Amino acid sequence: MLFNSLEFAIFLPIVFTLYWLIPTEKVKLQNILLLMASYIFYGWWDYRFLSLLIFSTFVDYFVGLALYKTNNERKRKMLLLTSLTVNLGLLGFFKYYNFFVDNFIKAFSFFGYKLNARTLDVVLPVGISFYTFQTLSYSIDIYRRKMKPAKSFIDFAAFVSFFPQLVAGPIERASNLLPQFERRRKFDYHKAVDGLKQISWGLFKKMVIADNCAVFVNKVFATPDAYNGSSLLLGAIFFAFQIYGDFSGYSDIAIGTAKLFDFDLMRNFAYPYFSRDIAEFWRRWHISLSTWFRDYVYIPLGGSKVSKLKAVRNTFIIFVISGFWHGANWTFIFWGLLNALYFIPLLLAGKNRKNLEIAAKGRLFPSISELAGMITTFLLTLFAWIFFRAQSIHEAFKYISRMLTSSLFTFPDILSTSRRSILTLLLIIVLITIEWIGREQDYPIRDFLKRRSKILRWIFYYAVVLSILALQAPQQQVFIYFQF
Amino acid sequence: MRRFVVKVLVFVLPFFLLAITMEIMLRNIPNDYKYKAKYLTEHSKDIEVLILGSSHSYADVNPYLIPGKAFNAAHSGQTFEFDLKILKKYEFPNLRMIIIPISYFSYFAKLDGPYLCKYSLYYKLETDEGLKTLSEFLSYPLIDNVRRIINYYLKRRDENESNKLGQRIKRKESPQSLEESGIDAALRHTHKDTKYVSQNVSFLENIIQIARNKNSIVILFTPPAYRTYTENLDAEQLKAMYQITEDILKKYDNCYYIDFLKDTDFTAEDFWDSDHLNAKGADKLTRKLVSFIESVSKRRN
Repeated sequence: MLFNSLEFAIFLPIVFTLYWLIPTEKVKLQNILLLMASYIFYGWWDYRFLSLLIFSTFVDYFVGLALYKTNNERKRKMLLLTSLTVNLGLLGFFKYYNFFVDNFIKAFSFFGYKLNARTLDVVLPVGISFYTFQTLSYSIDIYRRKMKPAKSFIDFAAFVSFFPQLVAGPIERASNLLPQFERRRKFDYHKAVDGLKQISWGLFKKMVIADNCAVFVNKVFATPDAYNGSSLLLGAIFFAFQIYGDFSGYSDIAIGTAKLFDFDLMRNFAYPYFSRDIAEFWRRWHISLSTWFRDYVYIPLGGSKVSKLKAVRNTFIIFVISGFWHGANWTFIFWGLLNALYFIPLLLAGKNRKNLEIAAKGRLFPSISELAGMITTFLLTLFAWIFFRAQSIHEAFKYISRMLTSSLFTFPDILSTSRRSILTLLLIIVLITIEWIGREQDYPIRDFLKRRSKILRWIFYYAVVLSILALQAPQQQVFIYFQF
Repeated sequence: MRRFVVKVLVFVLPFFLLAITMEIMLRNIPNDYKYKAKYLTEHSKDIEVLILGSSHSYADVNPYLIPGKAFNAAHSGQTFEFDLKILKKYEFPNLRMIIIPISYFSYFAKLDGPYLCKYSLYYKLETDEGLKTLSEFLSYPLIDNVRRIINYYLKRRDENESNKLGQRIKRKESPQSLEESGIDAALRHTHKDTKYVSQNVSFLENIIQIARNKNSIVILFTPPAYRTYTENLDAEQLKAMYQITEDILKKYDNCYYIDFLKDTDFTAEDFWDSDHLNAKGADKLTRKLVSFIESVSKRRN
């Protein structure tokens, strides 16, 4: 079920009403309802893959209990290994099997051997990368004795499958979300209103910004030869905002939906395009994944508190894994490597934690150096996004070589052939402006017009909803991160 | 809780009323789907030659030039899936022949977007694309719906584009240049994904089998296109299109195929845009089709 579908618009009020009709002290009953709703939500896409989700849930629940009960280190390691093998095994099979087989065949044929291996027609279960990481965090945290196992199977299953964040995150830590399933939840009017505002902002980013950008991104990336350099640059900019609008929009809808049920999910995006360096960008982009890798891979490897050489190695490992997590394609690995290359000079110079606060905090305009930092970081990111979006590394280089010609300094022909592309560009400017004004909030419209009259606020909310209805792209696009 | 629910309902109410009002107004606008569904309900038993398919037959085949009682039931973007659904729904007891275009995209495409609602609302056909397809209002962006309402209720322009026998004879938009539209259309019709191929082949085979059961023949044709279109097609997809068609022809003895894609008889003057013919071009194509049908009839006799 998509967040931007009529089905979800019917599903959510029904679940919301049923949920709050249950007396708040009956937490178990509320969790059963959430679990059922989550399975319906997931099964709507393909009910067959529910079995994978349920299997993963069973394995981690019982591994968690067993881990907690035993002090035998050897047994504990075996249990953790079981959880890792099952979860990463499923992920590996569904997501990476064909990639490895393909590459083995190519590698062997390069040396003159013919390998008789077959790729399979495997369908990637939606959200597998997200819920796998979420359940893994549970097993690892219990193994590390950082948390106790879930008190009941229902609580744990509801935590794993919680529908707002099941298919595209934020990837929650068990230590943050699981206790919320075990405590009593109360309806909070202000939190619910806050949730609705965040949902509408997320829908705006997805349906108005991302889907409109997608129309042109699909065109220019499919036939870069047909466009001049400036159009290709614009195509890359559109993609930067498509992926941002799509993914951060999804996160906003997820967080907002969770608020309606008195849950607090972690923040996933914090105005990444206002970052002044790449390190800051990675603290602001897909935060739940970056911090997951930090906590479960980077720090166990020694993090940055090791020799410079090892710190560089660790950085490379993290970025390559992060790239590979996104998909079974060399383009994602290259994208990860590129970001590692951007990051390493900052790490070596000890400047990777320089910009911790939001740009121009407490001021309306950024300083010249802040602006220069933001533009440079955006351009670096833009360059990397080309690899992320292209079908192959060869196509990405073809795109870049076509873009970096003298036609880069001509008027983008894509703007002259389509009025919608001009509208999309204007919408991006509107997005940047609103985000800049509201950048000190969790999401920009949270406190917008807070001190103004109620009528003005309602007019604003109507304007947001109307703009979604009026300016949505003609063709609805599936959320990009569903494929990861 | 009550305060929240009441406020949400108060907030949503104007949108709800707006949606209902616009839905009624939009459904009231005459359009080709409504017209053709009604025509088929009333006349399906009389139809001898049925033209199905996408805009490549909707605009390009003139039923008036085809001997016998012909009707053009094609629509923009109509896939074999909906061709089959129409064929099944109206049964066509006196059918002699079905004409279907095999375009570059025919085996690769799946119908989505706003057109879907027309099939559920006017043809009363089932679609598997969710509840959205049950509403005109939800199928189009609001701005387009406002424009449609203004066009019909203020400017008195309906959405009918076809003549009485279903051929598209007018268009809302003005023609694009042959040069520009070629790249655009070729790109739009190129599908890197082959996931719909087996489904589409099965739908087409189903159509051919139904025709065979009715002792009817199926004429498949690839419509002509301007060079800016043909030069930008993906060679692999085009090759696959021909290969699949050839395989189908081998399997069914009531199925015939003719390829006009690069037919040099069609010049720039015959095209409305790079992959659609204008009235003159459509007549030319239909005459060529008729002579092909005559040669098929001779062969069969």
